[in-house]
Amino acid sequence: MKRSIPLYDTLVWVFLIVITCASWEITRGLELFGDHRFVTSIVLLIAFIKTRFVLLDFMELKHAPLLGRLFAELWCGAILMLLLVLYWTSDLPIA
Amino acid sequence: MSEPDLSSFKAVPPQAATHKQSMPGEGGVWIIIFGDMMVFALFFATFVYYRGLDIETYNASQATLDKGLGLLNTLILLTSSWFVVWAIRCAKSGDGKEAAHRILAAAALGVGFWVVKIIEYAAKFEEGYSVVTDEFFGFYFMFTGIHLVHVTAGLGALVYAQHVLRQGRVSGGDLDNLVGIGAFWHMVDLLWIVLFAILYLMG
Repeated sequence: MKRSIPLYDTLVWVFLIVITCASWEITRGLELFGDHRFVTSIVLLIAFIKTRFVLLDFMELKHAPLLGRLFAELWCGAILMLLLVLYWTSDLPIA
Repeated sequence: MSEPDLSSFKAVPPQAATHKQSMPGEGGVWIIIFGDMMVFALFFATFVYYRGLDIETYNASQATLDKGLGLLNTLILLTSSWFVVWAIRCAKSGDGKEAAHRILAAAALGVGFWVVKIIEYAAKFEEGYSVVTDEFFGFYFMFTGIHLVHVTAGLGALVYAQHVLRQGRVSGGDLDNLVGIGAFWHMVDLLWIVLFAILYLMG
């Protein structure tokens, strides 16, 4: 039994592989979307969903003390927001 | 002198009295991990900010990168991370040898990441790009280079863990060290996930 694959972690790994390929694939179809910035925003969102899974499941922070869990959630949420704001405001025309 | 009657006392397991939720594995490693994550967060924000000041140059330089190799390295690190998780499960069930095999697989994939990165760097140098070509390549070589240093440190730690685990027995200290090393390796993985998104895919 010790050799058996950990089912939940394996499902997380498969999910991470699938959404990694998906994020790569949608950038190839950039012209299909009206505004390329939405594509990049989805790519960033997918990246931070992945980091959250790595932090909470692989790094076992899901059951960590409040501060550890809080750091993980804030790092993912705040950095994603910061990057999205920097990205969207950079495309604004200079007055 | 008669013996005291102790029948009314119940044995209390020591851990029940002192049990406290703590960070997984070796506590000190989390200071390094959280510190590194904050430094890299600053890198990410710096890149996206400066990209916004000269989008055309950044996009033109980015177009020369081999996205396929970036994707390959992302898949390699994710799979390596999964092997580390599996190794920790084996170690927790007391099977050091099985854990060592999985750590070896994780380390082999880490070497694979190294090889792909060197191939990528070599191709760029051959095409005439370097750290001084423009701002994009300055950031690209600096961030991926610093990340590669982390990969190397993580590889060293995995080799150490494999050496300890292959003895077969897993002590509490060994397990704490393994979980700490695993957490560091996962951090290397998650930092690459964001680097891949902003350096290779951001359009």
